[in-house]
Amino acid sequence: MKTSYFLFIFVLVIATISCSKSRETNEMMKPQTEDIVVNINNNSFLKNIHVTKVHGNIGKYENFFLDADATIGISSSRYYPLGEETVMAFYDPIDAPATKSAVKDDHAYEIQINGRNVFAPSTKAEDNSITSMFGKNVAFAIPGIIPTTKGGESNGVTLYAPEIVRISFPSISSEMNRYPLCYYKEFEVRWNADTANANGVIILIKWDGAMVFGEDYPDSYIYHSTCVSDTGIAVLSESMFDGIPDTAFCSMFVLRGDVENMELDDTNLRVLAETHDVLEFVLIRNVEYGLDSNQ
Amino acid sequence: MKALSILLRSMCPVLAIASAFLFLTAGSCSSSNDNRPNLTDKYPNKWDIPIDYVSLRYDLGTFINNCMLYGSTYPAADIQELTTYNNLFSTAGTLNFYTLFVNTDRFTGVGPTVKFIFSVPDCKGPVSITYNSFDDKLCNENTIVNAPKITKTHIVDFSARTLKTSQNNIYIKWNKEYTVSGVGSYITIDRQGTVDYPSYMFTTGTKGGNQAAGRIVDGHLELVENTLSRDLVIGDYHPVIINDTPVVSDVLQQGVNMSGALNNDLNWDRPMIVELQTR
Repeated sequence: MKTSYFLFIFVLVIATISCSKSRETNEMMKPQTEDIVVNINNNSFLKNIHVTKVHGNIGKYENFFLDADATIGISSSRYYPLGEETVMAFYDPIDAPATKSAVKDDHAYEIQINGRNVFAPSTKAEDNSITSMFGKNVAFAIPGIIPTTKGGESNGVTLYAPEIVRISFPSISSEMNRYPLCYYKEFEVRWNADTANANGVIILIKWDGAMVFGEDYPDSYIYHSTCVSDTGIAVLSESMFDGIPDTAFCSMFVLRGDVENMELDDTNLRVLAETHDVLEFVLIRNVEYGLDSNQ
Repeated sequence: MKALSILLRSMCPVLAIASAFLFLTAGSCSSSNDNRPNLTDKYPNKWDIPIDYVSLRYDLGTFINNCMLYGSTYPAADIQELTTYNNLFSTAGTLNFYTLFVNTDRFTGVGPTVKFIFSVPDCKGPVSITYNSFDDKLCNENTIVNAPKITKTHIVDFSARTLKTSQNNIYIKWNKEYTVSGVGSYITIDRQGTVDYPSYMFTTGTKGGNQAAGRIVDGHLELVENTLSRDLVIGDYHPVIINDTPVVSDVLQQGVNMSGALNNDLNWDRPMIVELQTR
């Protein structure tokens, strides 16, 4: 009985010492701030940021910035990684002055894409008719328009419509990982390569002030873009994320296509074939290895 | 009307391309300074935009169910506070953004926000109109006063944020981008207002006041600037840790993509919440 009593006391003492040590360890692991003084000055507060920067030469995509009275083309896009592809032909007379008869809406009926009057009311929609144009040369015929840069036919232009682009990494497999966390260094992007596309791929990082931790930046925007070879893989420079804060909710556009600008009298027309995919992600600048990790 | 609808639909991809591209004109706007013209210069004409048919509805019940389905770790007390708040004005389980301000006095958390960002696809940047408190025209007449006059197609990003919960500073935010086109008093919008965003919209932060988030790096406290209240007086402070493992969005608890692979051992280094006390 006496032995049992001493054994009980011994175990109790050991347990007490153990708990005490554990508490000490936890206290030691807890960050200490007693000796820290933090200075708040005018630079400490949230500042609105506005950056628009092109990294390097974007090649033929510069043509997109030339003024145009109207844009004719085909487009394929996906704004939601798990959603359906939106594919369409379009004719968009942007701010067309009434005096420029060539870009009136009814002019669209005369436009032919691969020999079809795709905008005519009598034309019936055919499944995949536009989708099937991607990955091939596409002939745009606009009666009365003479190409100024290049073109296979006297009344139109032929563009290479690249394969529909899809971002494969960072990957989204379900709603649960719809917004992946991406570290700002060694940011690798992968997509389906199109070796026939000589124009390269535009990669655009866009942030409009939205945050996943803390307050949104109320009036900020940052756009970084670059053009890379269409190899299916690119490692983005850290500078592509300059100014974008930790936990910023960003979008990445991966876009490829072809574009030509043409003139008719005093009317400028832009003809393009493009495909783009968009990934929304959270930019991360501060990382740590999890508690379960041995690293 | 049908022709207009077709035209607007056809414009969407062009605007998308344009918004992705037109700001790339390096010569005119590759600057880190705010070189944008002010609102008056950029949009000399203003008007009031009726938005009753743009209501940005959100189904909080479904949203919370989805969060739980995906293994949400948000405290029940915060969810309850958001639900109580929502129930003040929900109709058929949905939340209408411009009613957010109604009857928020009884809640102790930080108030809601409604924001409208107007932009055209150029490099001049967007114009924001933000409401941080009840506005009679907005809430009762569903009208944005002094909005840029839309004479051609615009992109309008409507966003809203609930109040922050008093316990863990959780709030829900949601937004939707519209293509808006209009002449005179008629505005056409390219899609419905209901949003269906998953759990990233749960966002956390700090209470404001003298609380902020920060990390200790090399013996110094690095504050997270978007958690720091503008009301703080400039000077020296002594930080006291309030919470070293604050509640954060589920999204921020995922593994991190790095060097071409998803690393599930790697996590976002969440900051701690400190209270800045005067010395």
